[in-house]
Amino acid sequence: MQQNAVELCTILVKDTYGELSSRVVAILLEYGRSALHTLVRRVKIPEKVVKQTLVVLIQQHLVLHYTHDEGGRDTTYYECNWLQIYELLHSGRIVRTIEERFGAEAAAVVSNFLLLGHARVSDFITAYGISSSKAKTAATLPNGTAINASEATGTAPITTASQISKHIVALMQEKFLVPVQLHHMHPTVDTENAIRQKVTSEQTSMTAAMQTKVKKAIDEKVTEKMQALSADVDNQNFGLKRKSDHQDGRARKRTKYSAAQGTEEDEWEIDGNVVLRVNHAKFLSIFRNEELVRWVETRIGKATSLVYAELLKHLEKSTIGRRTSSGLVDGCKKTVISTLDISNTLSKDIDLVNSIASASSGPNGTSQKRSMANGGSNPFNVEDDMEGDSDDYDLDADLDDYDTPMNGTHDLSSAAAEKKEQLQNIRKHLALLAEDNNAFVTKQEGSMQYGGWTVDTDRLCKLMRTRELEQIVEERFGSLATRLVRIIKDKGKMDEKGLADTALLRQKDIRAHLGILHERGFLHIQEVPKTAERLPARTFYFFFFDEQMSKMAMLNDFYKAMSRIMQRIDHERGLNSMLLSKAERTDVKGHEEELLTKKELADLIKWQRTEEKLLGQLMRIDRQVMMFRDW
Amino acid sequence: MADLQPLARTVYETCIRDSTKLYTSSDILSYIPKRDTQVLLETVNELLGLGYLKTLKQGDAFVYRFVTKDAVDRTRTLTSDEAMVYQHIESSAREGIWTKTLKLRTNLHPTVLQRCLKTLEQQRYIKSIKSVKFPTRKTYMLYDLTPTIEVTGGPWFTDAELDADFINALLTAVERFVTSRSFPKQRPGGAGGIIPFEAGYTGYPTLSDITQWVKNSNLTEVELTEVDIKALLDVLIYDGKLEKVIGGTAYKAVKRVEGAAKQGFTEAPCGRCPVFDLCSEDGPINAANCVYFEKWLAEI
Amino acid sequence: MAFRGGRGGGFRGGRGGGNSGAPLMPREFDVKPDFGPTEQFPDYAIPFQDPLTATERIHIARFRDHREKIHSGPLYTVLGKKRGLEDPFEDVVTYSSKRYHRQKRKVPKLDSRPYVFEFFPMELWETMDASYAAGGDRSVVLSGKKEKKRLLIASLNTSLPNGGLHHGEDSDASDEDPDGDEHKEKDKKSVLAKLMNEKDDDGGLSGDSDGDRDEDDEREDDGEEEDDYQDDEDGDYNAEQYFDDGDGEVDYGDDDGGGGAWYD
Repeated sequence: MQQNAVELCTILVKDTYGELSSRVVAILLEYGRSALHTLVRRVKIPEKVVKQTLVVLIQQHLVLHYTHDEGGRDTTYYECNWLQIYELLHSGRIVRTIEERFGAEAAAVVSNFLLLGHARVSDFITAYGISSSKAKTAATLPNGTAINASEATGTAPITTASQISKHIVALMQEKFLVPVQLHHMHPTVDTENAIRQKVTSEQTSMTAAMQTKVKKAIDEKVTEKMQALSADVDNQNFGLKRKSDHQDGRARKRTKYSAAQGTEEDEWEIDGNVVLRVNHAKFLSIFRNEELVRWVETRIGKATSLVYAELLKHLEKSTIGRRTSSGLVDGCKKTVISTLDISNTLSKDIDLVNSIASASSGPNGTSQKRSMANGGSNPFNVEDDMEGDSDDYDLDADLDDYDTPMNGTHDLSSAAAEKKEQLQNIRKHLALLAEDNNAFVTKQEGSMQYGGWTVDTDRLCKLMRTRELEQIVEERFGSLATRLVRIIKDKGKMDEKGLADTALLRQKDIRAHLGILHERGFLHIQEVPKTAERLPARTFYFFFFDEQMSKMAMLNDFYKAMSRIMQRIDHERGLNSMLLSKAERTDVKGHEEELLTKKELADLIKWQRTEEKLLGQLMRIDRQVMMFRDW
Repeated sequence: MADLQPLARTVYETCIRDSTKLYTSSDILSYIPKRDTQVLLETVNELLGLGYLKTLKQGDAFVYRFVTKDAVDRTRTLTSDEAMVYQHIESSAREGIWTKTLKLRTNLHPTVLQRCLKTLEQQRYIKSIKSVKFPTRKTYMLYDLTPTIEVTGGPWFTDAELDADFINALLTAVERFVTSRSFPKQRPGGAGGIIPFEAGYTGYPTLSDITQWVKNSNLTEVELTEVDIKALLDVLIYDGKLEKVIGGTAYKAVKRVEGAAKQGFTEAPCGRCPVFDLCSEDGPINAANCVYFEKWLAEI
Repeated sequence: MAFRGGRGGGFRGGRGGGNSGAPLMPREFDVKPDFGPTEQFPDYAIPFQDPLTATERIHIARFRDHREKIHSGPLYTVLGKKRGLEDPFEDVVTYSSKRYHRQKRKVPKLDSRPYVFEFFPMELWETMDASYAAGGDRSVVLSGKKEKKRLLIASLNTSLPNGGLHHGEDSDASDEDPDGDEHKEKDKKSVLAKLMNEKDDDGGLSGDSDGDRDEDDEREDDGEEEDDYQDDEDGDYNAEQYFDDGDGEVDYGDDDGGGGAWYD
């Protein structure tokens, strides 16, 4: 773990859970896994308090633990889960994401799970049952229009236990909430070791010759069992149980509710014993998709990006979201989304037609259109040629008769014709996405009418990272530096002369750029001496680019910059400490206008803006961190 | 030529018509009466001795080249040192020869060599050229020769210096041209900025389209081939301004949206901070006393 | 810098300006030592922040709300200022203002919620619930208080970061402008609406927590001395003292008065 990441994590914990927690975290991050007594000694806090702090940190999944049997005595080791600490930054965005998709009530559920770390469903619902009589939730429409809390009082729906269960079921089925299992509390390496030990002991005596073979078999078995551990979560209805026929009064009431909804999900209810937590990895997938949509918007256009967003939303429904050693994994299988799926949910307000120019509106005014004779809508997309004939016809007819009334639709009702036209328009945007050099979507052959689509997020993320890195190089070192980096990435190792020739630049002009890029860890140098004396003057210097090293160098800088922002916020808060403690007073809150002076009020607003600006920049760097580390 | 015997003069006058041709001894023999090898030997020796003929080696065989009268006159007026220098420079042909090599070959004292070169240059027999490959070396070549492309570096070089202004002007022009062909005309009254062409659009310019356009435009008098234009396009691709489309056969401009990318790191005060490496929480440079944060936050 | 090895200035000087020799050598990379005084913060073009989008501002608002909830919850800890470091003029705590100040915890309050014990190592069970005997043997549940515990549930503040903050820019200008009063009034309202929403959160805390709070408030009312150690008897310790000298012998089980004598 990088030193700058340690610093950031410590600051984040301090900012969120206060000083005690951050002291314990700082020691755990510095020294690695520790037993309680070692920890107490290092952190210089009484054991009782260390224990209390550990409870907080374990409850929030920020610290993992594992108990080893060491010569008949159990010893428990504690270890920081620093990636989870980093996730503290995402709380706001997580809550907002649910708010946008499921409404304020569900967002409140997720927010509470974040606050609680994990909680048994029965406890959670009970707590809601008690508070529901009091709690008034400020209603927000899914599109983000808020109804002011004070206005909403009285009309705001009371959150009942059954409604909460309904939200939880929905959130569980889309894996926003996932059941916590014991192994989630342990470091992966311990879980794996324990499995390995068990598997090994199951193997009966072996000869030396067999050992390598057995070792391989053990490795396979361990991998298999590790996968099995997470496989539970893959099941859509994990942690849920099918409703039994014998229902008590409360459950029946719910049945009634579900009958009104008539949806499949409501056949499931929650196993009250299940312990749930927020699935942060799922949100990472969603944040990644939002980034992809933004990319499409800049590259192609707004309307196309909205179609893409809709497609990704369909994909997200089945996204499980899991962090693995090799990166973020969406799910076990590739999901194909049909054009029809997209059209069913796409907002009708999007102008699909005027956001793409037909070939005839070429820059010269003359038709630039190629012949459509071979029936393929796109000769550069192999899959296209393999699709069904009727499908081809639809698109071709559509492309050919862009703005003339469509043939063969006169017998369809106007609604059906409208639908068909919408499908075809959506397909045009999808075709653009597929044709793009980045191949934002891939067309899947198959029987799906109007075509099915998949998204290769791994590949896209790699491209996105490259693009981001180049953008950072450009912002920091100028466009010539970007040119050089791209050439080196494209051609591999190059000397200064070759670089200058390809870049059409003078050697003396690129030297300074190469120097700074090398210094900041973007470029690396291989020295190849021409003679045995290894004289510098008789040495070739080859520049090369190492993506992994550049990524690490960047991340290190990101963490440092983020720490500085947090520290600056702390500094600014300190400057306003008197004012802020006054504003926080229970008698002042809500009566600022009467109780604060004009200057205090102005300062308060200024402080809020300052913090907002700093936090905003922090979140923007966070986006880059996710891009380089998680996606 | 008065110094030549009639036979030698006839041979010379016949053969000099093609001054670049290399003659074998049997070629010359055909101009000798009765193909007398003894006469041939005498004639060749006479021509060689007076500098009208030069011996060259081609493979294992000797071949001859006739020297123009101008060149003969030139050599005639030179001192022996100068003639030797001249001959070495001449033999380097269109590649030119580095003074250091010259010194090595002639074994002349540097001041003598310098004087020779100065005389030759003043007489306009030789010229100093700049080689792209070795821009720091003083290189000489016969006055009336044109350096090879290896020496000049091709169309991008002016006096062995990469002509950055010329290249940048061309880059900008080519980029503009490709951009103008990459997006549809703005619809009158149409909102929402630049919209893309539909998938399968083939109107994007190809390499030959672009080369043709550069030729027809009056951008430059320098002859630019497709190879040259491709080098420009490659640079534009490396700059992220263009990309290849339609299976790499055509070029398209990458859409640029101002302010679209929300810069995280580089828009933070730390992103380009000159003392970033020195900054630490308890150090003399830290987030609390940082003047850059101060200024950055002043813009609220 | 990569090109340090054996390439001092003297070496180059010997080569007559370093203009001959291998052109491949990126000699310009050499560090040019500058012994002159440098500024601590040399001037450079400080970047501008691209204005935050509405989406970003909502994310920030939610982030702040969430953090605020944790801060006012049972897990957030603040180690008080050491005596002698307070500002004698500004930090004077009067009785009347103190009762309204947010209570600061020096240790997390753990006993108010149910736990999933099997997710915790046994050595912590007693800490989580005093009714477990040391060693965490579940069968040896100590008799005594075993009151019902419930989770704290908070409602969500879904207000959008509307004019509140950024319209404020206008109000800056209109401060001296009598005509701008109406505008200003509105701006203030929106700030206040935001803050009021936060207040609603407190109202939304579940019954048990409300009870706790009430109790806390009561204690604050009669506790002239110190309100930091009211969490429960386990929490009474003088944290700062330990951090300062790391001396494990100091009795952290001190009573309220003892702790309060030292720290704010």
